Amino acid sequence: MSTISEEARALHADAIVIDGCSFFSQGWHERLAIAGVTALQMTVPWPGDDFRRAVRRYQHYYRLVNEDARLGLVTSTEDIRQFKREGRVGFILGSQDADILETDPGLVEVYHRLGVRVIQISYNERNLLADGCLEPTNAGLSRFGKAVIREMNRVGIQVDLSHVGERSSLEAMDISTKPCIFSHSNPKARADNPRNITDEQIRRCAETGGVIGLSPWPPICWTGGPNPPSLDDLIGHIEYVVDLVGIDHVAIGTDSEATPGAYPKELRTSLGATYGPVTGRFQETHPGVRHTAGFESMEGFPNLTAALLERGWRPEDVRKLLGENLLRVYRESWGA
Amino acid sequence: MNKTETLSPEQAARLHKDAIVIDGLSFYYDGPTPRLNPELITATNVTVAETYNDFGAAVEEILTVRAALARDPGARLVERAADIEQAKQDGVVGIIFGLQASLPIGTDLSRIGKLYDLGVRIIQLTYNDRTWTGDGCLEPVDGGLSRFGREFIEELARVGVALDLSHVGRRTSLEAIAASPKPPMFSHANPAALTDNPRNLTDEQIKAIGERGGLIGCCTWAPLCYKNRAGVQPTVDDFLDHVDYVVDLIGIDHVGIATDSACTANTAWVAQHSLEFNTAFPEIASGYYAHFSDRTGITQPVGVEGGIADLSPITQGLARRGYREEDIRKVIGGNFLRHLREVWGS
Repeated sequence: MSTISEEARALHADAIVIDGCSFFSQGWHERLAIAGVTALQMTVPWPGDDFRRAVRRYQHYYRLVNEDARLGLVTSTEDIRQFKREGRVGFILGSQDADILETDPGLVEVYHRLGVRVIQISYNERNLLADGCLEPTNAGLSRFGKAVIREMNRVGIQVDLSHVGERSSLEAMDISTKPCIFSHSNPKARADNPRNITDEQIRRCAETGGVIGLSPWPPICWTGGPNPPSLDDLIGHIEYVVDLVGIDHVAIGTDSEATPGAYPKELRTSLGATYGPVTGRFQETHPGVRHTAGFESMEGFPNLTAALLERGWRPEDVRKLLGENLLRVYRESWGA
Repeated sequence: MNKTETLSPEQAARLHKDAIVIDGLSFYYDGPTPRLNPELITATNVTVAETYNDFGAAVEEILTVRAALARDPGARLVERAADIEQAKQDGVVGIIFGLQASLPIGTDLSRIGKLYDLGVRIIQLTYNDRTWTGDGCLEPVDGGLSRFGREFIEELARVGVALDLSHVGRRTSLEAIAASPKPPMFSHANPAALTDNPRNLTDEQIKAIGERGGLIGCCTWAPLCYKNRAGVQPTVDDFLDHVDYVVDLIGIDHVGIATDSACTANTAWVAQHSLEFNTAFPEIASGYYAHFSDRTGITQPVGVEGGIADLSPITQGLARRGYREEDIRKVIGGNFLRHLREVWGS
């Protein structure tokens, strides 16, 4: 990657940087420093986890922050600002599925009290709340799904609609009284993939006051041509959304490991089996391509800052993208 | 149908005792009970876990039922269709293990085989609400069968568990009928044309199950057969109108009977269940109970008040209506036996 200007380095170091979608930390790693992240929204439970399994996995993160003063647990947006001042990195506990709620909307408050602040309401397939983005039925929300969203609004958990079916996501944005986010999704108009989202979803999300977290994950960042995805493609996605709904509604969700190599192989294998419609065409076209050039993992964050400044982005707009927008939305959703 | 030779009440009484009589849906079996009389009932699909149970809780409930069965000389587990015929010969009541929910399976299809090993032979796709497989009959969205739901139905057929579509959303049930490798059934539901209720079936659903060679267990549970007459307890004749309707629509080979009543004589347990159900799902029960002071008591039509304890008034009623002996045998149990033999594969 081209060298990063002093101006970009200084801005990135000073900005609040939030990765809106990460997973699998084994503790402090220099990657966090290279990325310059202030906080990461962590996917903690595995797909299909029930309450008991989910609680065990959240415990792991309590242990990480208890054992290392460089890490902290985020339960309010003030925590994020505080960690920035102290030079620590905060974990925001999240989930990319709602099976952890089992059949009980009352567990929403229990998870909130455990520190969970973001829940995605479905993951590719149908669950008790909503359809995932791979369901051909494209059904709307169930009665349970509506009850859960009302409860998330009430107790202060961010509603995340990535991986959710289009109709379910639109209905969720209709009933949510708090801003909704797509933590890691790209515009379908530029990258046609079932995981990406339509202009209507993007507009509705902005109308709720929410943000779209654009993502360098190659299968959804790839724009379909002969070239593998690059940082320029990601910037194209960002600017497409900015043009559509404005600078206040964009963020970044890298969808990458917080500790390199920590993604469990067994989980990768089991998820890969159901992932054909998401990854298939990309893998056939670009076998062996694992990364978006220039934004290979969250370590690519500073490259993004530099590239945007070079393109003439105003520093305050870069700050919004890097973290301030998510901070605003979290504050409104969490009530703190 | 030939309705010329009407059976006398005495002939009908003898026929009922001689015939294989199957109740397509009952619940709360807890061991020896005067309500299961082998002269009046041959076998029944008993719901063996609560609809909201997860896998662990369902397994525990099933093991409790198995233990109760082990100390009941008057009842026996049904694992194959031949067990029903044998139970009739031996003068005991056959207990078919059924589940009214797919929640215990969660998203782990291997649990279908495990539940089969514990004796479960009938599984209902959803119960009023959405599950991973599809939508229940109270979901306003009714999004149809999910991808997982299709795999679920394939696995039921592979293992040899009958697919039950009662309590399922209309669109989801139609897609399930089309997707199922083996004919499904509605174990306990009635034509909505006569009693409009989210639990009952449109003509489209009835025809679809008939064309697929499946089965509908017409249900004596009063909220499903009271013809929406507020404050009126239905009679056995009201119930039989529902049977006639289905027979007229899809023929005599696809109709059975179901009571949705309790096997246990523990009335406090049953009343508690009714109260919980009627509170949780007012869309199904409140229309019927609106004009009764007791929201738990009157659950079966006049003439078959005892539900599973005595279904002979249904045989009498069918005879009065001119049904031939062989057709009566089909309706009160023969069709269920044929259907289960076909989908179980033995």
